[in-house]
Amino acid sequence: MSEMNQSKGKLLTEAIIAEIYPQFKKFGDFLRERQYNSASSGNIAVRRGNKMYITRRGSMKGDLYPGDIVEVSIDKDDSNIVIASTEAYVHRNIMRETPALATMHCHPAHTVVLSMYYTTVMKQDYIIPIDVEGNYVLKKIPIVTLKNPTGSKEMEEEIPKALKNYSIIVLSGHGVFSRGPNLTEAFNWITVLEEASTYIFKAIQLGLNIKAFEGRYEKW
Amino acid sequence: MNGWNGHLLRIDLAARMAKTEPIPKDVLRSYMGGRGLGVRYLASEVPPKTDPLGPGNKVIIATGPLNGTTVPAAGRFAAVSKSPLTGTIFDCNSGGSFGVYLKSCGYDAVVIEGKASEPAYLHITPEGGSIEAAKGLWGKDIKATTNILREKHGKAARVSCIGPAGENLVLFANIENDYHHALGRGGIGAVFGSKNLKAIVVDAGEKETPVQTTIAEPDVLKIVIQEINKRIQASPMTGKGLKIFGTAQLVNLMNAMGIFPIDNFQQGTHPNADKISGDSIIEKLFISNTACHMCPIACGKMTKTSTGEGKGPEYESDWALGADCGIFDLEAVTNANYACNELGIDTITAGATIACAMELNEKGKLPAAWKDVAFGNKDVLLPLIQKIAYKEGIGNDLALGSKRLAAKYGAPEVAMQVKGLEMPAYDPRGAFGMALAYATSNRGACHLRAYTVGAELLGLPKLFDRFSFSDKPDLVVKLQNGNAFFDSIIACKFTGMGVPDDYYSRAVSAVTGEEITITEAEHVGERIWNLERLYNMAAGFSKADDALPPRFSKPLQSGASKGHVPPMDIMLGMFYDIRGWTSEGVPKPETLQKLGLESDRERLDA
Repeated sequence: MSEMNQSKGKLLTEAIIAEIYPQFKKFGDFLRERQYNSASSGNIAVRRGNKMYITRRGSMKGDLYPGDIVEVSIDKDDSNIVIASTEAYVHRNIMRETPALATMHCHPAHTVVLSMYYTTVMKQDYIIPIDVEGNYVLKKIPIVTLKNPTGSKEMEEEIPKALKNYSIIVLSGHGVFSRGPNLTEAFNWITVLEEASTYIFKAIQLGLNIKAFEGRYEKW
Repeated sequence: MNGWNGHLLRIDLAARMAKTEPIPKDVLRSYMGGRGLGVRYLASEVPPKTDPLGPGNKVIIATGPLNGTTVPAAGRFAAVSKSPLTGTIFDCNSGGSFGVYLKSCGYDAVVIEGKASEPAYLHITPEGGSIEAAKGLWGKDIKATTNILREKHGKAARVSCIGPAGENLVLFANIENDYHHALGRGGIGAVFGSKNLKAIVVDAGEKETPVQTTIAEPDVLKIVIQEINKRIQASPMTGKGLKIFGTAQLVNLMNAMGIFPIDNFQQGTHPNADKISGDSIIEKLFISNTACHMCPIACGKMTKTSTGEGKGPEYESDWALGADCGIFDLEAVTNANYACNELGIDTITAGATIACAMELNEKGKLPAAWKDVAFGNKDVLLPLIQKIAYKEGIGNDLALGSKRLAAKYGAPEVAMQVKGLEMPAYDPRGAFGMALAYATSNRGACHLRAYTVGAELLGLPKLFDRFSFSDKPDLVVKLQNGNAFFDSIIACKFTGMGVPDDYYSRAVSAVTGEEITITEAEHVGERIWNLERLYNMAAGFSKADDALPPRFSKPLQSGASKGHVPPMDIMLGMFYDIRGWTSEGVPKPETLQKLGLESDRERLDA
């Protein structure tokens, strides 16, 4: 790449980060406020052309700075991948293989516990919300169960596959991955799912038959 | 075959022959129907440098897998041809019920080729097609033509036809079906005219309800349909706004946002906009709602003025014949809209070309014969539309569209067009995604290839910053691909204002039995988009044509969008990267290979 093109590329990256940083900051704050993450867990990422902008490994999502946003190539490996999030390859593959322009990953408590309950007790690999909004908006959320559910090759392959026809999925015992045309939509899915999971959790505690409220979305 | 008939009807007008041909399953799976199927056949059969008004051009009329099902708002059909206005490959689609009746005759598509030796119309039944003499029809307007043909073939027959504008080869002549549903914009009505083809009648027999398309998974489809209906009812756009006010609901919204073009895009807002708004239409002219086949939205508005009655105006027509010409007299705009519909003229290009003439006149570029063609002069609208349709006097120049008109009078920069197609009713300085969408559209400046207005102004599904640049290239590509799929299955884009984008791909999966995820749907759209690009490049288009008129490199001086200019060079570079094209906008070999289009580039170039 010529010196002039390199300089142009740097300017473009700076301009892009200037545009996206306020969004990363806002949604990082939202994740903290809702206690969807521990101090540095979870990731936020957006696509801009053939580049992905993702939170730096170990960055605190509730206290993000422009320097916490890392640019990595979507099509090929580049050296920035070493400082990007542990799950950067998962996000990158989601952007390669689905219509995602924004992705988010976090650990909302009720959903994570529920994923374990559904897969081990109910022997069911999906959640169907029982509340009206969750049912209307999400219908069915696949639960993906993996042998190695952190930073694994298996995750890089299976999570994007599950998101091809769904906007949000749960990785059993770990957390959720959502996608959307922008971060607002990706974050919205997470909040709706966690709220839906909270209702299911409470319904189970009360001894309600949750199957009676699921509707007919098994084939969705 | 679930979802498709698996056959097309080929009509040779010169030889007066009709024959049925199979459509390979892999072609249907890869292109779906509608726009995609039409583009596939046109790109295979019509060389890119063909004269659009010569006998070598063809028109492909195509339905889609959802036609003839009970999926809401999915009864549309498409026409694809090489456009006489733009010179690009061109598709347009239309509602009503014509498409459903065509499919119920047993065909997914009709390929029309050659030129009839005398005015003719095409009669299609489940038994095949025949070419009938159009004596007594030539010269008639849309309503009269449709009435005569329905009188002859029965009330169950559906009619698509051209008016005098198509017969006279006006470059933006429409085909109108079911009286007032248009196949518009690119002048395919003139292609009909050039073939001496006045109309197509589809005659599925005495059945008022067409034959249902066979469905692979009826139980799943039932659930998907219920969910689509729920969404349509619940959305304020589809369940309320479009139903109550029609598309003209956008007038006041866009005016407030400062992107409602006034006087040929010289301003972006006007204090009198409300006089032609959806609210005013309902208050002053409304008679009743009208809906396309199986559509619960019912956005169409039947209206009445002191001198006429008809459908509309829709938002774009209302703007083009009104605000763009500096005219805010609702009655005058509506009567002009009726006239365009009856004569078979595209309202956007008609209004935008008149607006271009008004600015040319303002700048002193036009001779004395044009002296009354001035912004705000409502009295010129109807006479000019008549002159366009019959190519009388200055109508000869106007009938060429704004690009040729402005070039002829030495001020090409006054034409608000891309690739020869007039820009619609959103100033791109107030929505950067729309700027890129206009510039890169394969059929010229069009709002329907990638309607970023939804994301940038209406918050669908969630609001984007309308003045940000970095997220727009991805958004535009996503919408272009998604809409190419939508135009092929073939459903109404208004559903997207309420229904999430994966619901219709689920419907296609349930109907056809093929697994079509939303990801696969966008892949189908990408294939169609790239094939259109290859065709246009072989026809002579290049990166230089992916550009807006120079006016948009200077900011608006007032209104809510003042002070902004879309950074076109940066966005275009990112757009080409995302598409897998070179920096000159040429699809790379690996992109074509991924889409199964490797052989098309070489063949089209040859």
